[in-house]
Amino acid sequence: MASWATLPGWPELRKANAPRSLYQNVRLMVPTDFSPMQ
Amino acid sequence: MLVDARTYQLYPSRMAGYLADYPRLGLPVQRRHGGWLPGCFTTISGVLNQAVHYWHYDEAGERETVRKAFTGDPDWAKYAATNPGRFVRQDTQLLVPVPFLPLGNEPLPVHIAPGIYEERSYHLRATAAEYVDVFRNTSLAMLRNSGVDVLGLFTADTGALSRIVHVWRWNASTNACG
Repeated sequence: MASWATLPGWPELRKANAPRSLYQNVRLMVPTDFSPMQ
Repeated sequence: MLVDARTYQLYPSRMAGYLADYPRLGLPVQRRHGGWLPGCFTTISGVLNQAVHYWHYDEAGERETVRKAFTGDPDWAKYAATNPGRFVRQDTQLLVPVPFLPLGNEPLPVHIAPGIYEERSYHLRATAAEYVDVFRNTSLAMLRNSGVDVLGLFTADTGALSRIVHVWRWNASTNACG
């Protein structure tokens, strides 16, 4: 499974970025049949 | 450049009818009046039964002109007549794309097989401009090196401010994570 979270340097970067965010939200989406973006 | 990201929350079981009627009756009217919808999606995680539209405009005035034109078209009223009882709520947010990613700025790569799109919204303590600078200079290369297709990054121009929105694409055979 592709995961940037396992890359060298990512934990440090994430720690450095943490003070910049209050909260985060993620949604996964699939394109409809008529969407130009597939 | 401006993206109008619109979320339509449908009642459970109403999505199939919406996805049948909208591209047949609604979208053609919008296109006739200059609307450009590069992306239309349904959610598979988080809040379900959502249809998500990403409309692309050159600027806010064009959005107003296009919307005024198609909502005044009698054919739009025919489409709108199919909608009562479908929507729980509707939300719109105007997003300004950063200039260094394609979504909102330039033609996107054409994919034959549908992928999975990951939309990540971050409410920030920092300013959006500061976040974008850090992302461009540090995180972007790392994400690309790990195979993430980073399509777009936006700052929010309406709704809650100090907010950014990422859009990433995964091949359907790859898992989104993190």
